[in-house]
Amino acid sequence: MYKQIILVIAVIGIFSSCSEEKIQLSPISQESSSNFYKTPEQIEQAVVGVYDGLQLSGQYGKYFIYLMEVRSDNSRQQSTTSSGGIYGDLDLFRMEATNNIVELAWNDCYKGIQRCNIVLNRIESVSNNPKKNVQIGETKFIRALTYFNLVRLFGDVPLITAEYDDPFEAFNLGRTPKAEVYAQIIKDLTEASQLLENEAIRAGGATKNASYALLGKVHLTLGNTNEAITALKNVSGVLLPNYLDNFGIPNENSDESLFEVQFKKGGIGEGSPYANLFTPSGAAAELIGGVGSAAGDNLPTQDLYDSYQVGDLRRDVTIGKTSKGVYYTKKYLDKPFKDLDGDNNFIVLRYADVVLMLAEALNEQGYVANGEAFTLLNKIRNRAGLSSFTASNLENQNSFRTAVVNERRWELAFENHRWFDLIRTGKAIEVMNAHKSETGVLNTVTNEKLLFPIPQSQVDATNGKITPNPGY
Amino acid sequence: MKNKTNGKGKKIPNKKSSVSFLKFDLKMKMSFLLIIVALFSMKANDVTAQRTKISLKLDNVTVTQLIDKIENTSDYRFVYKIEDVELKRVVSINVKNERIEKVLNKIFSVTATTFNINDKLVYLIENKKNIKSTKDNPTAALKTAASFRVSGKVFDANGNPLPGANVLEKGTRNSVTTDVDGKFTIEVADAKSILVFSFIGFEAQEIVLNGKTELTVTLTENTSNLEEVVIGYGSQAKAKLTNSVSTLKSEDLLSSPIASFEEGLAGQLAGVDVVQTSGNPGSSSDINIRGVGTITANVQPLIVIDGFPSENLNINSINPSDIERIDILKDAASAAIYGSRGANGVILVTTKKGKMGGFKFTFDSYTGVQEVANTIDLQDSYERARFVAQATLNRGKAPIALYQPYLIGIPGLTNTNWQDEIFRIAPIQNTSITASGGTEHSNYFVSGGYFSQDGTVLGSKYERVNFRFNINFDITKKLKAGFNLAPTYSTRNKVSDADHKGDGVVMTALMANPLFSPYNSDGSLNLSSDMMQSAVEEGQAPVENPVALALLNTDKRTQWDFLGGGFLEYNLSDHLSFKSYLGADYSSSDRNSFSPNTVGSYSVLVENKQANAYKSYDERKNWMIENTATYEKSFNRTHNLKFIIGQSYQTEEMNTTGSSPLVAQVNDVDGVIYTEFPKFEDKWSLISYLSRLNYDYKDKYIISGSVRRDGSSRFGENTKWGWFPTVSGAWRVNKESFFKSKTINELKARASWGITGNNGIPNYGAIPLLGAANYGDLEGSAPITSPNQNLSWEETSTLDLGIDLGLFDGKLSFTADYYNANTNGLLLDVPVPSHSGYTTSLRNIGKVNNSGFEFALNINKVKLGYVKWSSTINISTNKNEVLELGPDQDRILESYHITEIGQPIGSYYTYRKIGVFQTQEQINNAPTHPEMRLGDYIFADIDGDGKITSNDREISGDFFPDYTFGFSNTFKYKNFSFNFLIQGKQGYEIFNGTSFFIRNLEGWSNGHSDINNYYSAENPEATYASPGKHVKTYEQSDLFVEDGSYIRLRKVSIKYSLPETFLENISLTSATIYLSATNLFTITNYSGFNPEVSSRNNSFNSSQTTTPGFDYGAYPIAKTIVMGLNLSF
Repeated sequence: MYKQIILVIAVIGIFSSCSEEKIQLSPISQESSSNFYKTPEQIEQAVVGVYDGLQLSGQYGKYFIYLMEVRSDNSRQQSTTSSGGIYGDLDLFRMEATNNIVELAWNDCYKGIQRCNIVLNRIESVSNNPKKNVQIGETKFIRALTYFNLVRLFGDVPLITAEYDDPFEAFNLGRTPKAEVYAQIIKDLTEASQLLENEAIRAGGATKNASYALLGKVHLTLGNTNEAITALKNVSGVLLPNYLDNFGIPNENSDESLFEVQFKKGGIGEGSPYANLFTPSGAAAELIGGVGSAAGDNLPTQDLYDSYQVGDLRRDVTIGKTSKGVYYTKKYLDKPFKDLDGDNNFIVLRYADVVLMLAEALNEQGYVANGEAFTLLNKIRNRAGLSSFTASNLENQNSFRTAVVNERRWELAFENHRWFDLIRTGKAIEVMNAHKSETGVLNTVTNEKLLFPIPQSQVDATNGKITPNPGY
Repeated sequence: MKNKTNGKGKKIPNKKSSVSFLKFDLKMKMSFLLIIVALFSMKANDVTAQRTKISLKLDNVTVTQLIDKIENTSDYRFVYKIEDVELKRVVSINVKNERIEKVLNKIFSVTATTFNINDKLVYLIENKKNIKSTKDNPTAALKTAASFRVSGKVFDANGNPLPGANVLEKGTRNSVTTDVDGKFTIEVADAKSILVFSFIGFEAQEIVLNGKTELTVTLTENTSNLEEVVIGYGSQAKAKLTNSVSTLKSEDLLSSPIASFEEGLAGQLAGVDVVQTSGNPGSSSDINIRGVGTITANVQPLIVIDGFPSENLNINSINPSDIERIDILKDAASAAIYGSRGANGVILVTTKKGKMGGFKFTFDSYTGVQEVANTIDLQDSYERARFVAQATLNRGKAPIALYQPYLIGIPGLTNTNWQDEIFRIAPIQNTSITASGGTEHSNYFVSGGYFSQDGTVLGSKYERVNFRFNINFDITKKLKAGFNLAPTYSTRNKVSDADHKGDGVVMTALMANPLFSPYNSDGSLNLSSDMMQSAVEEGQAPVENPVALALLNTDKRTQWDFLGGGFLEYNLSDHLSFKSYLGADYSSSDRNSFSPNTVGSYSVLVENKQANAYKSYDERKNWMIENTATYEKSFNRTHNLKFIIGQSYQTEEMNTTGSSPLVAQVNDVDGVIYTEFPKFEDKWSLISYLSRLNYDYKDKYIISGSVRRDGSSRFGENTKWGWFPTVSGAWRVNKESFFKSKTINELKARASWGITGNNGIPNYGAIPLLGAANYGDLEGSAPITSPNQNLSWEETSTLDLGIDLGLFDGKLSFTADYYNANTNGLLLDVPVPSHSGYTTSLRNIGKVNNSGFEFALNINKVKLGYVKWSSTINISTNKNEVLELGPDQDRILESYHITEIGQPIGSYYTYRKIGVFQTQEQINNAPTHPEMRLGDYIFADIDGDGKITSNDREISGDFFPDYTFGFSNTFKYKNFSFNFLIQGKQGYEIFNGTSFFIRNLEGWSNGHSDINNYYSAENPEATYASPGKHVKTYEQSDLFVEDGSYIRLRKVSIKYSLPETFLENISLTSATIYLSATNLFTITNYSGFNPEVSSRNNSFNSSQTTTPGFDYGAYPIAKTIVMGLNLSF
């Protein structure tokens, strides 16, 4: 009997000797971050991931246009009830803190920032990386751009510049005062402008010019007129002879363009959705070769159409009209490869913007009749087929201000500037309340509505440590 | 039969006044059932003859050898006194497929022995006609100096005399056996002697004479206590069970048509909650055992098929008619032998094996129809038009021209009830054939089955072909082997049961505009760009013609499943055996979905539509090896010991390849050119050591303990291994000498405690994973999951206290259990602030408690007149409470749900709608809200700050029922058998997400007819607000939280077995025809299709345990009526 028991134990023992390593399994089809970021190639992949962050649907991949254009008087939603009304609610100022678009924008901005923080944390420990300096510059530029978008959309936001090993560390962090966030943005952009080259090292990569342009915009937003002028004057750029040449697939990454988010159609998950989103319902065959959906989003308002001065070449480049008479956004129309898979890049910064910002800043520094600001403004007007303004048209600082805001509306429509321009120039409440919505009844716009609500999910997840914005 | 028709005829006319049978109120339904019951209360004889046939070919054997042979090859057992049978007589016999009576007649016809057959027992008794002298009493030799004579009669529980029972004077060898009439006479030492009455299959009984000379003794059948219960890595006599285990046998499982076995479990067992969330053919149900002890991890119990634990089993691949029994391990002490996978309970499925005896062949086939159990009362075209007109008017516009003719009341215009268009009466059929048999040294069971079910929604269908081979044999006297294989092939045509955006056919049928018609005048499908265009114009949700969605969009899946295993068992001695088992589960499935460019999609008109196509191929390979040694010994019949020790290794590999179309401007799937995604591979493995000890002292005091150690690849570097110990004990009070109750035959108190685990998380849940993050042509990567080196299983420790009671000779048995289970270290996908870069992080955090009572009462073959009645009533309660969440976290909020400390998981969290503004005064006094016009909803200011803000939400219900119950009854009368099962849940709520559309006041879609009661100047006391523009507060209010309580007639069946005399002529051993129905009616106040909903089955909310009870257009369940035939020979 005892022999038998020993035999049994021995047999089981033999089978048991297969052990430990059998349950040490690494992912087969995926990489793990614990053994990544070790070589220059892996760092390069992480930097590409940083750029990819801009493509996320919560950022330029989709939702920014709703927060930055549809929200404004430039465009409207054809159906304010589609997808449960989350788009229409933005358009008509009736949104709540649970709005999904706002939540995704918040989440995806921070997802992008995390990618930046990982690169900046890990890049120093990898040796023999020839691209290191430029990669740091690119990453800082994108982190600054993302924070700049966040802070303009939401006001005070949590400022994170370190890589979290444990996401639970984030529970301790509330909202950082706007000023500190801006200080970090300026620091990142200043460093980026030193580290970056004049030429990008990749298609659509960040450059010295782009970071100066963005730095100028940041300072302008903060009212730092002198710093804005300095930064903007550091930008070397050109205006293309024809306004039209800024848009369309063959013109992507043009000489005038300073920074654009890259998209590529072809069924590889890199396409942009704009062509389908911005085609009025029922007009797909007419406008985008019948490929995919026609969501009827971001349609130009009658108000925008009517605001163009007679002879402005930009109107018909910017706004189209379907055979049924519906206005549509023209800058991003191209036949997609399939539904939501278009080729159009999104232009974040271009030299015309810099020219107008510089004009605005110079005018803020002091009105000079027919001074440099006039020259700059007229460059833009003349290209658009409009006559020059002189001190007789724009007699004082205030009228020049208004002229620049209008010029920016016409020049940069649907390029995600309008909503922020209205806020920066203090015209948002006045303009929006005067705006007659063509879709539904626009709720009254108050000061509180100039910021978006902090997503309810964040208030809930942090048990109130992240405080809501007033008015929501 | 005549009486039956008369009985029905009398009562039915009363009910014809009601709309249809299915709309009776409960009282009427119950009385109808009682009438049917009463029909069987008529005098007749019970016929339960044995029909097993015997084949024998023996030359020159003794009667003893002959008896041995019959016992070994059939279910018959012989009972006889040695002196009554001439055992050494040499006989020869050659029979083929003869009934036992004929065989025995041949052997004993002219001897001094005759026989008497009672069920499976053959009594061989003295044939008084054939013997010359009855004076010679063989027991005389054993007699002591007797001075006291006792006589009497022994009966069985049914009152039939029991011949052949043993009557023993306790402490002596003095015994007699009862005669053919159950009578006995014995002489004993004195008037205080004790007599012991015993008989095979019956509970022994001791009687102290105390001077009595006449005794009437009733012995009770002992079947329930002798019955073995499967408990995982072995089995145990039910009487000695120290745990909470529920068993369902084949006949109860199969009493109604079921597609897969879990449907058959519904309502049958205490503490086992089966939720049939979808009627989509080929879909499976959710099973919860004793509540939900987890928040994020898997909530389904582990399913073990013939010893093979399968975490990803395709339940549909098991043919229910192959199942012999299902044993469910409910408490931790029984489930912990499955360690890190036992926390949700364990379902042990045992398939059928061949029985000793001749070849047995069965054929079973049914065919029937299904229809949706109910439909929703929607607005018709005219109501719709009035509603839309009011809504547009309130928005300051005029309704579009489409509605004008309806508004002026032109009769006979298009008025489509879309539900009628997508629902149909659908056929269901099943055929299964089995062949089985066995000898002393081998047995086999082979089956083949075909099941086909068309869905009640157009375009859906499920078909399955099953085979099974179960073979066991002895290689040598000590070495046994067994092998089973069950190949299954199934195809499924699925219609989308997703929400509106996923073109869910049911959801869109509720939403679609009744003013449009599904077909054009030429009979072709109306691919309704008109309907969608008009929806866009008026701000409605643009949905395609639901009939087109059902018929033209296809999603076809084909699947092969091979589940099989084999074992070798070697008996090293009489007490020690060693078993080695190798099992494998392989499945491969192909999915091919296609939506042509000729049918629109949500908000995509036909003219803009591209074809959608998707192909995928999934493969899963799971195998395990397991070695166990069992030692079993009884010392002096007092100390009974059983010890098992073992080890196992199991691993599973999965891979998926998928393709999406590269070019898709096509209307035919053949035109699609695909581009393939990279293959995705996945793997997990588990190493386990296990051991269990069972000990009892004289069957009276029983203790058991087990321990398992699991090492899993899924968990963090620091936490790969865990221990799962248990201890349990029972005291069989009725075995005590002081226990003398005649009514109570069994009284057992049980207690158990143990720790089980839940490892149901993603395979690489502990590892921070990176995903592709490409940018144009550049390859990039970025994090997708957060790291956690300490990730481990959830640990549930459960205390279970139970009582088992048997009364009235086993006629009545009762089981009660109390359990209290604490789950620690919940695998919780904690929502983290998204500024961390992640939105959730998988953690072991928090505690949940589940506690409850379970009661089961079994009534076993009680005679009501000439009707035999068996019944089971089970009631279970469960209270679920969250005790702890993440650090500093007292709640998790998710849109409509809250998981909060002190409350059940995933309660609904809503605003409270308290009415509709009817007067300006009400408005003046109400808390501030963006909408405060006459006809707007009034909400309660819960926090009292004078404003309606997100702080004004409160818990308004949860999806955990206060109690669930099942009430099953079987009545047998003559050759008829009638069975029904009523099942229900009480005290829980449902969040009716469908109401987002059908009770939407902007008129986004067609509405429920009850929203016709909307506010207007003419109807100020309305339930619903004035149509038009509204902020979304009401969508998050308790307006959509409904009571889900229901009572359902889950099964009804009536069977008729053809008389034996008739069968003789056509060489059948049995033939039964039956009529059976499921889900005939449900009594509920819930306004949706089915109160058994769960968000786990819809795409609106992710598959989270924290968001249960959300109904969003699920495929309704069907009521089914089938007629079938069962034959065997």
